[in-house]
Amino acid sequence: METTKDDSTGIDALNDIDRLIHEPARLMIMAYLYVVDSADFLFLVRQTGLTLGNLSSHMSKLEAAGYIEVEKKFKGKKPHTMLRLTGEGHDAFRKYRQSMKQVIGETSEAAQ
Amino acid sequence: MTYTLDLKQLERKAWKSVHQDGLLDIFCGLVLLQVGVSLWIQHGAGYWTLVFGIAFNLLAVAGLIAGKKLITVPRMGRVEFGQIRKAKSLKLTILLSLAVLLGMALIMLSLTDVVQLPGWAVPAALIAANMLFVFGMLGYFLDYPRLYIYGLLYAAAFPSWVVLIELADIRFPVVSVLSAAVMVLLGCKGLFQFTSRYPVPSTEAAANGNH
Repeated sequence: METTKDDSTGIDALNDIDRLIHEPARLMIMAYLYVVDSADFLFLVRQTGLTLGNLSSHMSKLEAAGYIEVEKKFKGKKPHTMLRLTGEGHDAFRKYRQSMKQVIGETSEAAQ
Repeated sequence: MTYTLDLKQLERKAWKSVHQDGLLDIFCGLVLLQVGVSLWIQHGAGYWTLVFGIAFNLLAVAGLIAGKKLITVPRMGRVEFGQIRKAKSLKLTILLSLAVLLGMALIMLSLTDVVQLPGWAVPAALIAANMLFVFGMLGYFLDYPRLYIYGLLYAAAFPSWVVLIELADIRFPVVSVLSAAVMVLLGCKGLFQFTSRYPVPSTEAAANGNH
């Protein structure tokens, strides 16, 4: 995105925030998958408090972006889906944290 | 008020959620009950006490594994933790194996009279130290502080039994049985809360979401 030439306020850095991750539900999902190796739908539902439908919809978006990989397995005759962050997902989350630290962490309150 | 996304705490929360089912408390209580019963029946029972102990503990371990598989996973879901937890688990397994081998060797030696330990104070101190070490490791590596207290109760089991015999000729292992009962009750309470809070969802939904 185009930024103004004089960015002394730092506000233009907000344009670099990954909007896909920035949505609270997806941020929660990304954070959980960042700290564990892999998890199934039920575990993420229990941890995040999202409904299965809601979780599934966010998962589809994250999977489409290449941030999450879905591994389908069979436990006996039952299908079982495990989810994990891809390398790209790890990088994106790391970059998101860095950007947020830069933008929010250094907020000046002088104008209040 | 500030809100920070603390990833270490998040991982810890995820880890603890898998262990809040009360099964470990019930397991610890049952094993301590076995220790108490073994102390009680050991006179004249010799090796049978050891056989009973091993068989009971194997059954308790099988019960714990089955409980995790049939109660916890269908309710909480499946999760694989990262490399740090895996390394911690490996360290814990090695340390526990060493402690169990040491404890077994001590019991075997005392049963075969190869080593004559003076009085009851030295074996009691050795067993107590072993228990404190085992439960200290478990509490630390499993992030389960309640196990430190259980370690104290396990450590007190043998010395308290001997002291009660010496002072009041009470052969029933009161401390072990009461401690075991507290652990089992706490575990049952945890299990009840866990199963009430997390009912089993429909299988298909739990396995796949709508994905």
